[in-house]
Amino acid sequence: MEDITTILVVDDSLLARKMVASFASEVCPDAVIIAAASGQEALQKLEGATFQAATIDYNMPGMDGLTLAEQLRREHPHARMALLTANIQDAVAQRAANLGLEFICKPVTEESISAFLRGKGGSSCSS
Amino acid sequence: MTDSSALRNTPTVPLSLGGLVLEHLDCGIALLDATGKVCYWNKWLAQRTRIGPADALGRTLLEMFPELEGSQLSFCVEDALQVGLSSVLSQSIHKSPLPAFRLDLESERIPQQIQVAPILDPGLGRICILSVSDVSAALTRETTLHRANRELADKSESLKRAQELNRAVIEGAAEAILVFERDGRICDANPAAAEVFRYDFRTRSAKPLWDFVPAIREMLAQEVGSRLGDMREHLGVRGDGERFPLEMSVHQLEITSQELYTAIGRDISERKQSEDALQRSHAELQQFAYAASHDLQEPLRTISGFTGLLRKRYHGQIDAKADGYIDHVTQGVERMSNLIEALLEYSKVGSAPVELETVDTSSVVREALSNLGAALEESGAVVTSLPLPAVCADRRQLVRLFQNLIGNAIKFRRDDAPRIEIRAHQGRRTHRFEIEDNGIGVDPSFAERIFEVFQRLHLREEYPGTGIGLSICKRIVERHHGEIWMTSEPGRGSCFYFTLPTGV
Amino acid sequence: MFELTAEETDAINEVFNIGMGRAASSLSRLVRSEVGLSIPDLDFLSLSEVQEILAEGSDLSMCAVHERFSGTFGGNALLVFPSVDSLELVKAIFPDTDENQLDSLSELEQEALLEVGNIILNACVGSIANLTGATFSTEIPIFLQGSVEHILTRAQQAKTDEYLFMRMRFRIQVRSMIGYVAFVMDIPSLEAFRDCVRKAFLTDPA
Repeated sequence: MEDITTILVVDDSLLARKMVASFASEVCPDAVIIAAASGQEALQKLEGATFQAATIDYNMPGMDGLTLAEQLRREHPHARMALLTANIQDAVAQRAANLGLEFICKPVTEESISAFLRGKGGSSCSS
Repeated sequence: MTDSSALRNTPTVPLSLGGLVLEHLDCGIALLDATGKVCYWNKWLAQRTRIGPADALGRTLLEMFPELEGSQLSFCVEDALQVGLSSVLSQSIHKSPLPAFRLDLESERIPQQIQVAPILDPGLGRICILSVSDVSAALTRETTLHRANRELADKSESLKRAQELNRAVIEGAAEAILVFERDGRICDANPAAAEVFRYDFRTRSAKPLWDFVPAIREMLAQEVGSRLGDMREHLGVRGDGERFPLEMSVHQLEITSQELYTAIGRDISERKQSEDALQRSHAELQQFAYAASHDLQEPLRTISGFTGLLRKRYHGQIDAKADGYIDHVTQGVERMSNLIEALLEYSKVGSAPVELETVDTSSVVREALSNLGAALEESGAVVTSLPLPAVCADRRQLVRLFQNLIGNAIKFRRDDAPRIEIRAHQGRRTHRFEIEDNGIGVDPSFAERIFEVFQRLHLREEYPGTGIGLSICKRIVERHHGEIWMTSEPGRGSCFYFTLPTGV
Repeated sequence: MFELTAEETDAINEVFNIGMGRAASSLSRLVRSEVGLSIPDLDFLSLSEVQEILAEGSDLSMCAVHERFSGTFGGNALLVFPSVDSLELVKAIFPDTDENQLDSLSELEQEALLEVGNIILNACVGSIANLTGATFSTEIPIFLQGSVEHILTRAQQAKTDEYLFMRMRFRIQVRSMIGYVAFVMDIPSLEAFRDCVRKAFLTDPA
């Protein structure tokens, strides 16, 4: 957890970004948080910078969360990434698993964000 | 097992009048308390799930039916109790969620629609009502409906195919086919019709059928139904005004919804032209044969006269050789004279008008026999005749017909006296006459050839004759619209048959 | 006209987003294949504006699932499909359906659509309840069929009611269909709704 210095938060909802960011900064008070409202914005803001953890909303206008994760994975093979969704479908879950993504169920809670950042698995999500 | 009847009247919810109603409803009603435990279980459910109220009360659905674990029904109950949401479960999506069985067919699960609704009760908090209805009837209706739909689709498919076939047949027909209404309005016409009438029926403004075949209007007005179907010749008028002969039959279509007719026909101008030409050349030929034989007779008579003189004056006066020559010439002239006479008669039979009258055939036979006089006596022939009918014919020609046939029978006799029998049979449209003899007969393979002109089957020396007699018979019968033929057994006899139409 | 700030709109959008996500995952369980749902776009509209949008391009009849809810605030939730799309949805749910023979919904198919609509509407209402702490109780939904006007006026109780209107696109396998979710509420209910959203998300946690 000490190795997390940069956290990427991608969500089209301002509210969701705020909530994730506030929970994340309680767990990792020293980390820099890069917030983006879309996949495109996230790629622009990163501009080659690295991050150790990312939460990515699945359902976003334009590029969806899985597509973004796919692109990020190429540059950041070791980063810890989680897909945020209320939409757990087998097909989505399978594609996410192939990219080594964890799941965080929406709505996010302090517990689910903390578990993810501490590496205690965020993929249990009851519908 | 606990005795269910003992506990029956001690549910958590007191049985008011409303409770009694619930008890006897034709659907399953269960109440679940805030923790999901059954607090009411009506008779319908008890009978069909085979779990009595005593066993149901105080247990959750999952405890009673472990198969519901993770099912939509469980989620819905949870949603109702925790969030307050109502839900419906349809049979199409969830097949019979509750293990409830039919009363008549105990192994069969009841198809169900389930409603789950939260109720906020002041005393009990948020409880939930489950109502289960049997949708068998709807399922049966739907199956029937689907089957009917499919059958209908199949039927309309085969109907479509049949229509396409009909269409193709009509489009491709060589005959002009027009469909029209009673008032003459043309509803449809095939390409052949467009060609015959030189008119584009499908795009141009409609003219009535009468403009193309005027006679049909009258025909429809006069004889609806029965005799429409006959093919008749009419005058046709093409789109460009040209008149032409056509042959057409009109039928009333047998459909109930509309009074429709079809006219089917063809342009017969070409056939007419060749028929006319044929008739003309036939008449010319007839004329020629008559003129030829008539004009030949005149010089022949001169030859015959002087040969007679020659014979009378010089027979036995020159020498035996000269006598022989004179005999040959005389015979030749006689034969030629017979031939020309027969030919003349043959052409007369063909050209002279047939004068129809009602003729008593028996008297005709008597006249023919009396004409045959000498030959008849000489041969010792016995002619028997059954009563013969009256027919509509040319009397003179009919006498000739019988005379030739009876004469024929006498001529081709065997050594013993000929026996000739004449009979008649009445058919549906014709009388059939039979003239049977016990003569020499002919090989059946000649049965048709003997009616041709100048056909001889025997040496002239054996059986004299011109070879035209039967041709004349054939001509007479044909001019009366009848038929003639014969059967024969060589050495036993022949039978000649001919038909004449009955009535006028 | 009822107005929301950008922040409030964003929060309500997220609430419905989560609700629709739930609905999609429930639906995908039902149809055993992936269900794609577009991001809902949200608007406050008057009856005539809703009519205009729904009637856009067609005078066709509509199918709808209508559910009343009451509690912290009350109103009517509607899921509306053009009839054509409802047939597509039925075909997606029942792959065995004969493609040719369907041009109307049978009783049981209506019931199936009712359940699908119920799932979507419950997901929305449930999501509001979960995220804002409001409490609700919904009534058993009913199936409606008819003109846009007929369906909308059934759900509208007072002339002043506003429509919280959401358009979304479904995709089930190769089939794509459009549906509309409308929450019809009076002004006091909308205000109560806004208050709940504010309380839940927009009060400074510090």
